[in-house]
Amino acid sequence: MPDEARPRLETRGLRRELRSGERTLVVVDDVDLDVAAGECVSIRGPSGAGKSTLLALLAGLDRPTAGSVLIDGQPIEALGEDELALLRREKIGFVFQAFQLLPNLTARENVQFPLDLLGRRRSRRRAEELLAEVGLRERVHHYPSQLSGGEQQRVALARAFAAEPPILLGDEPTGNLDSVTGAAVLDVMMALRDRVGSTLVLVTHDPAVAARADRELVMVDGRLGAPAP
Amino acid sequence: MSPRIALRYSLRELRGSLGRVWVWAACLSVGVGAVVSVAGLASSVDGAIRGEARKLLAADLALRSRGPIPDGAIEAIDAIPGAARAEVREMAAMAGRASSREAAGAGASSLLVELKAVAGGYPFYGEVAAAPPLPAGASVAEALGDRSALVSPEALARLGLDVGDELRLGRRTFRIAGTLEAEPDRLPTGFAFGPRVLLSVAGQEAAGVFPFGGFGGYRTLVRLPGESSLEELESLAERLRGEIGDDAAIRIETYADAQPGIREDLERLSRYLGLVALLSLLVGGVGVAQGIRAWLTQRLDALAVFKCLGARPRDLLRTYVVQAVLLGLMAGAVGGGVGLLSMLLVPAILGGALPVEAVSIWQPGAFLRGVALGIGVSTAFSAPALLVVLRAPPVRVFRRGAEPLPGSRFAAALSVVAVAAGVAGATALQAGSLWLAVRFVGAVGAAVVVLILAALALRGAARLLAPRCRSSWFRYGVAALARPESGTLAASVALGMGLMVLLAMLTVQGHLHDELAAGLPDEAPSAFLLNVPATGWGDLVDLLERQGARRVQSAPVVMARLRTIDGVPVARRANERNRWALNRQLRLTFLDELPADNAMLEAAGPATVTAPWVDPDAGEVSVEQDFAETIGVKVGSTIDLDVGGRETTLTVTSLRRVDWEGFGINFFLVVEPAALDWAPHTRLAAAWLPEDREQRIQDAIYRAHPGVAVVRIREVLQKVVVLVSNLQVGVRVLGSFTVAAALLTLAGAVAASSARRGREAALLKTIGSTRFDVLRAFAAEYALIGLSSAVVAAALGSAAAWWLVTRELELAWSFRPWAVLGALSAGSLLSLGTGLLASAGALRRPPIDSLREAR
Repeated sequence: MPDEARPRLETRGLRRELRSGERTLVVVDDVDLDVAAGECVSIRGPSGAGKSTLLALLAGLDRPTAGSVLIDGQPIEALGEDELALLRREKIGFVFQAFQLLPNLTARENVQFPLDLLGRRRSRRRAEELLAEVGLRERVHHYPSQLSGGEQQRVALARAFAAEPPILLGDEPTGNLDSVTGAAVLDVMMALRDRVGSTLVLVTHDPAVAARADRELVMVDGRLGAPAP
Repeated sequence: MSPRIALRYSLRELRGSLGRVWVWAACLSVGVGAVVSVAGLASSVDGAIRGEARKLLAADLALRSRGPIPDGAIEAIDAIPGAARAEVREMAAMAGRASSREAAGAGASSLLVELKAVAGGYPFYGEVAAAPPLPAGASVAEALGDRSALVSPEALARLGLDVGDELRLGRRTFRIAGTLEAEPDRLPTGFAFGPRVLLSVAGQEAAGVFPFGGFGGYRTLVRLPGESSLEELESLAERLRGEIGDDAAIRIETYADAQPGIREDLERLSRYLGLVALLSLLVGGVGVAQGIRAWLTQRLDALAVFKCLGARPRDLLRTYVVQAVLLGLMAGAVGGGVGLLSMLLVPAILGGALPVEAVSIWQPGAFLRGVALGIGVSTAFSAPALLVVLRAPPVRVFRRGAEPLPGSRFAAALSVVAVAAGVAGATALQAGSLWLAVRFVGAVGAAVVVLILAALALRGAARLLAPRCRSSWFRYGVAALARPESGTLAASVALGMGLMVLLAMLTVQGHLHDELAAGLPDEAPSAFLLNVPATGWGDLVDLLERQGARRVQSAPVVMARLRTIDGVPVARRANERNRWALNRQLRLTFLDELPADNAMLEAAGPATVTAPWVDPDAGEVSVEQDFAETIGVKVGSTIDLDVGGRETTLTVTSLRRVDWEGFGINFFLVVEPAALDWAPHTRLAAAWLPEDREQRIQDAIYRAHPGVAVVRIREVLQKVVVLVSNLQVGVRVLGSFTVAAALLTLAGAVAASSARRGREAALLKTIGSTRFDVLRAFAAEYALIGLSSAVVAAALGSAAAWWLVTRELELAWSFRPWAVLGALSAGSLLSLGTGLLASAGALRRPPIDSLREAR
């Protein structure tokens, strides 16, 4: 069981450098972040500020150059690929700007996948219920290529929340959508999050989206800070 | 991930890539089909032979010998309660028209036939088919009596005779009671010295023709009361062997031994053809390896998402291994089914070369072998491609240009081991012999290495040459070859492999065919005369020379058996290796001089080829060196022979080397005349006959000496040519499967890069190239791939053919420029055609579609 007093998600002196030709870019620079269980934090910043890289580091998809990420107090740097995969399977959901649905799977199968990985019973029924919850009851057998952008992102949301993960990482979830659709998708996401109670870290450059978080942070040139008043 | 879930997602992944999956399955199923049809055919023929085993022996048990079965053996059989006995004698003999029809002028007046004489209850199993049928209720021998015979339709046609006419055999004339359509104990193998004639033993003895030296022999057939199990028969055979004693010149067979010669040949043939078929499967495997790699590389985004959602590398690996197995299963089932169905075409292709009339396509063993090989090759060959799965970086979901994860050396080594194990396992299964498998894998491995090096060299050359090409479309095509990710390396290797196999096979066959069809070397005799009576030889020589025969030579033939060597009975010297030599009825000769083509290797005293007999006190014998080694004699050894019941002791005074390919008359043992000229003997003669007068000379010999059998070599060679030609068609079909698999591999490679080619075509069109320019650029690339593969294949295929022709077949090598040119143009054109077909989609798409996708 996680220690209730500890933050759900912590980073300590987190740094990520990338090589670009001869130069070394510091993409994430000495980031210290605590996110409490159930908290919703938004991170805003211009393109190339290092927001997405920070998310990748939080999820163990990328390895930091220095510093560490702790999930429920457990540092994840020492974990191997398999252990990181198990960690994501059990604790982390994702929503991406480009939806990242699996093109060979139908909407239902996309949502079913995390449940199957966890060995959950009746995964198919559950996936259909989740799609109904995001308003896609009639689209369960459609392939991603047959869905509109808004529909695809709803499928992605259903998939992200399917396993009821304690942590949800959102990377510009409305970035590819028009404002009306984006707002609707955001409502669905917030509703799901309220039901499941996930800790949410939301990367965006839309101030309106950022404003819906409990706490707003800003990232510029790899450094994380509070927004200017 | 549980196996059930792995299977579920494998199926879903396959469903999403069905188009590609079918291309890979096609790559593999060509090879599976080849493997299954070879294995199925072998098993069908073997099954037919074994299923009809009792009929093929026409008995439960048979005693077989080159000479008459001795009384002791007959008594041992008669002592078995309730056993029935029958007799079969087979021999070569001359048949002819009886004089009344000679004036008719239709057909030849004499013909070498294979004569079968039967007595007693023959056949105990199966039936002799005749038209009109023999009367029911009587045995064949009873029905024919001693004055009629059944004659094969071929003999009737060649002699210009009909049923009811008379046929002369030896010194008696027989009424032709019907045509001989089939004998239960004879497979229509498509090869015989002459057409068949069946009569009774009584008739044969009255005609005065008998089996002689090496042609035909004697069989006693036994039927036991009731149903005997094979074990009972084997133990009875064992008991008889004990009772008959060491007289191992008699072979005792049960029906389980039916047609051992044909079955051994069949097994050997099916192994070699099985390996040729395997080559097409391996080429298909290369296609799968390359296709899956290209596909997975395009699936990196999806792999990243899978990993991001919590799938471990091993979960994904499991899913893709299951997909490889499913792919193999699909290819196995489709290829296996097609392979079995294609067996229906085989009788039409192979004609008389097939020893059974009908093939059964119900061959579950062959089908399962195909499926197993399909799965094995698919799984093993996709192993290296699956490394892509392990190294796919999950961070691609955020950053598309992410570096692959660091590779594991262990996994890379394991994937190489998997491929090697797959190839070795498949080869061992097909070859049935470890040594053959090792050589095959070595040769294929070496060829693959050379083909890879050649493909890399081509890439290097293209990089150097592309900037110097003047024509822009050609330059573009050449430059495309140089690109590291062109994806056509494996296709070049596969195509090279296919063309190499086909070219080597065609070249070897061409040599074999030409050698046989070229007929006889000028100095070789064109006819052998067997069973020439010792007293009639002078007349026969006169006759031959009058008719224009040249280079007439002859030697006396004495039949004998070895009794002891250096005082030790042969039975105590016999082992697996020398039994054939020690126990057979030996044909030996006595001569004043050794044949001129012999070379003296070792001699006691001053013996030479022209004066071989040096010891006035001893009966001398000169022994052929290999035979001497086999039976274990040296210069100075003594040999005891049984010649017509009389014991004769000889001393080995020389060892000779014999040129067996020279078509001369030669013997293992040549004896000093003084030691043997008392013995009953016939003569064996050889002569060159003018081709246009062969039949006339044969007819003349027949009229004067009806007992002399004339074996015409040209005729025999023609029969062999027909047989070999029939087999060639089958082998060619099999060889072209390899090329077909290679073309599918190329098609797969081009299709896999279809998106990239679409973008290229779009870009080229955007900057002003016409569709025809794009087509020409692509065409240049595919034609060059084909041409370069063909060049290497021509070199390797010719080298392989040279080795087989000069070393294995020991024939003279002649370079065949047309075959090489054929391979080069076929390689380029097929590659060009296949490549363009596979990129038709990319060429047709409007540029905007491809460009939009590329964003």
